[in-house]
Amino acid sequence: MTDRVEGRPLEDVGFARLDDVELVGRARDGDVSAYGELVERYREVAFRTAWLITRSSADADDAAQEAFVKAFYALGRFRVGEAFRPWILRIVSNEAKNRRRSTGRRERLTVRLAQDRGSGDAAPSPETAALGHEQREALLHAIDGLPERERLVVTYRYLLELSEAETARALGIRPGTVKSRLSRGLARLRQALATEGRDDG
Amino acid sequence: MADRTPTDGQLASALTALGRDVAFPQAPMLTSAVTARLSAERARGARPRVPGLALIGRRRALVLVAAGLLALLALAGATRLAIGAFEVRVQPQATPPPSLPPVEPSRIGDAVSEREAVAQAGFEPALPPGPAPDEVYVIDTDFGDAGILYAWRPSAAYPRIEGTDWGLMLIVAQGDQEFVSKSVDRFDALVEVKVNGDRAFWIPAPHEVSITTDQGSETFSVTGNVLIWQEGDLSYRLETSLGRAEAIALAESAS
Repeated sequence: MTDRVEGRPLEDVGFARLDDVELVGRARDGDVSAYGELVERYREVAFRTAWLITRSSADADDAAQEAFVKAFYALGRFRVGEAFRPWILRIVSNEAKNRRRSTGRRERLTVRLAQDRGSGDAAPSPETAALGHEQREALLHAIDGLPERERLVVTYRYLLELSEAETARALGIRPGTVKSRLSRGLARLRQALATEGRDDG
Repeated sequence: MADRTPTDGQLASALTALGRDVAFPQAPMLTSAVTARLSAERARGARPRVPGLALIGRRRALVLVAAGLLALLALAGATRLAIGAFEVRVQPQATPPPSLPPVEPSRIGDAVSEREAVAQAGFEPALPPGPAPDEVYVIDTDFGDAGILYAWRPSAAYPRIEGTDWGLMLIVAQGDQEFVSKSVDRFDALVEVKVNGDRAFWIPAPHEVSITTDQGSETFSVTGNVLIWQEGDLSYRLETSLGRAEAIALAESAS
């Protein structure tokens, strides 16, 4: 949490007490510092959102940064009462897709578990520790094998922990489409895990 | 896990928990970079000082462009226009090299039945009356939405499109996430027309088209004439050897 303060003028720290609506209002009036607080709040999920699409840290960084800049100038289109997080994630998603398309990058880094980095800096959460390392690996592998349309919905909904409504808003699809893609995605994951189990057993 | 197949609920819980164990790369310190850019741009006057002044949306801007600014923009270089999922870029050096292959449906989609295509895409397009399509393909775009490609073999009604095995190809997509990008080399190769009273594009000159699917992007040469129009939230791209009036009549007859 120290990076919330690091590198920022001390007077900006007071913005942390304001909610998103107040910050958006100030940002619309041209207050860049207030907007900085919004960036700070959502930079991590924005970067992860972009990374799940680009699978490149550099591209995700560029996409998230560009999205935040564009979003500032688009604040006039932000509807009062709308949640800021899914709104900015939609812009981030589009920017990441454009970037992936323009770079033509085909190779994809796989999603990995934290402890696989070998740094020992993260133990598995109790819920997933119960799954066993191989099963968690199999689950991640199965996610990577999903068609893009289902993979994005599954990763946004579960890995980023967005609600179904936020997932729909962030991907620009209908809530009903999120439900059907989640259902198909989970079915495919279940099938992949069953196959994996048979292969192992 | 074969013997303990998880329910949707169990799988959802496991996935959520798994998300907390994923080794996402470290998020960069974006805040200072973003605020520095904004402050610098505002200081230079490069952007409106008040965000609300930047409200001309892309679509509206495109309409304005189409309404009369094409010639001015031509001087500035490439520009782009879009109808639904179809984007058209006017680029002076866009003449397709002869080595580019013509559009081949099997390279961009999976052959399915008409019924299956509608079920997978989640929408039912209006099709022209007359012969049913000979083949139907579902295109999975990299945005996660599906498009449908209908293809008709050459016939008296639909003469062969030069250089292809097809007489008519119709791509239908939902929404406005462009996954089909066409590049034409001059402004007079892009004609604004009307289909059912709404703005549409007619491209009567050879050009190239890039189609981005979840498998990547493929670029093809287009030797036929192309009509792009929109009905509701569906956008249509018709490739044919028919002339402009016949193509527009065909589009308007679709139901």
